[in-house]
Amino acid sequence: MYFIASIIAEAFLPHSKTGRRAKLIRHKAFAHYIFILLVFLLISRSVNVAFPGVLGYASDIKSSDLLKFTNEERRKNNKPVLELNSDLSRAAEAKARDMFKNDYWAHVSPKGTEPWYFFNSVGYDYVYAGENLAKNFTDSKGVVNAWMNSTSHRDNILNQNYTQIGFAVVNGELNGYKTTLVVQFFGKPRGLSEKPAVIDSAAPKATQKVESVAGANKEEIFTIEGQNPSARLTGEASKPFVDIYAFSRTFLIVFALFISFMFGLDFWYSSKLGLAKFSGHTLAHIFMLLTAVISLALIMIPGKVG
Amino acid sequence: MLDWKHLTHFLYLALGLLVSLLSAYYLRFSPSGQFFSLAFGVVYYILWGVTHHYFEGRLSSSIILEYILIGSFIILMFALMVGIV
Repeated sequence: MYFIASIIAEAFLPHSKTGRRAKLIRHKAFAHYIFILLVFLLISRSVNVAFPGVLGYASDIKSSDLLKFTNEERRKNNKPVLELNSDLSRAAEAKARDMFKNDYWAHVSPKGTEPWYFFNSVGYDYVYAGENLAKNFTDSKGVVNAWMNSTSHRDNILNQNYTQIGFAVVNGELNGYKTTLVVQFFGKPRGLSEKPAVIDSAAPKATQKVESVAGANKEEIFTIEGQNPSARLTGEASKPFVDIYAFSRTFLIVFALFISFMFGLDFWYSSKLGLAKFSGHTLAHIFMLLTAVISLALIMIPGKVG
Repeated sequence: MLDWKHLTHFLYLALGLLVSLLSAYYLRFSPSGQFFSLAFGVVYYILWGVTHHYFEGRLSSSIILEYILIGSFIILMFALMVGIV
């Protein structure tokens, strides 16, 4: 019993006579931590190459939830609900893939491609069209809430001119960073009786545009309730078996906090016993570790809408 | 009694880490930007450690190693998290 207690004391508390740090925060321990991190890195990268789809980045954003929450907001504001349209979802997916491919996150691509290009590319003939974007979110509610908190996005969501909607939720790497992009396309298909009109959007970030597009309206409307058996939500991000990024972020933050706690304990115990130390400054280590923890936590702040 | 020299040293450390933290916040949507913000913080912390202990007259290779090990651990941890390596 005494043996176990002394092992625990040595691991967690500085030596009461020599003043040496607790074993868990000595040089040797840090060398081990670095080695373990390197091994973890090697294994996770190897598994990623050998078994793609097992480890990866995951978010809990679903097109069905985005539709549900968007329509909830419209109902709350006495606006008619939007119907899910598979062409709009395909167009949204094309936009999301284009952003990953060309490494941008904006309404207009660096090559000058406007959102309306993607509407046209799937043959969606519209009188009104709009686009909302989001990235770095991990859940559907967070995305819709952020849109509702931004005036221009909120205007799009509550716009009476739209009758249909499509979504794409795509995981990928943007600027070297794994993330989830959400594209929300709004539209009102042009009916045969409708006359073309041209009105340009005023603001650069305006997401509503009315255009004159020739051709007949050939929309097929798919609803989320699956009234049409061929209805499909495009762009549902495929989830890996293990979300290695979420796991490693949580684990590393907890671990860094634990090490900070150990240094805190070392500081308190050494002060209490009046131990002279011949090591680095404990408070400086705590400052540095807490800076790292806060920076790590900043990565986990979700979201940006555009 | 308050050790002003010590306090000044710590103010310098806190200031450097605050700059690192603020830039990490400002660049929170750019992983590489965040990484370099923290890397700046770590390099500053190691240099601070060496300078501080030098002026205190107790700089040793063991102390330098301690700062480098902790700094490397933090950098590696952060790089792993942002998926930069």
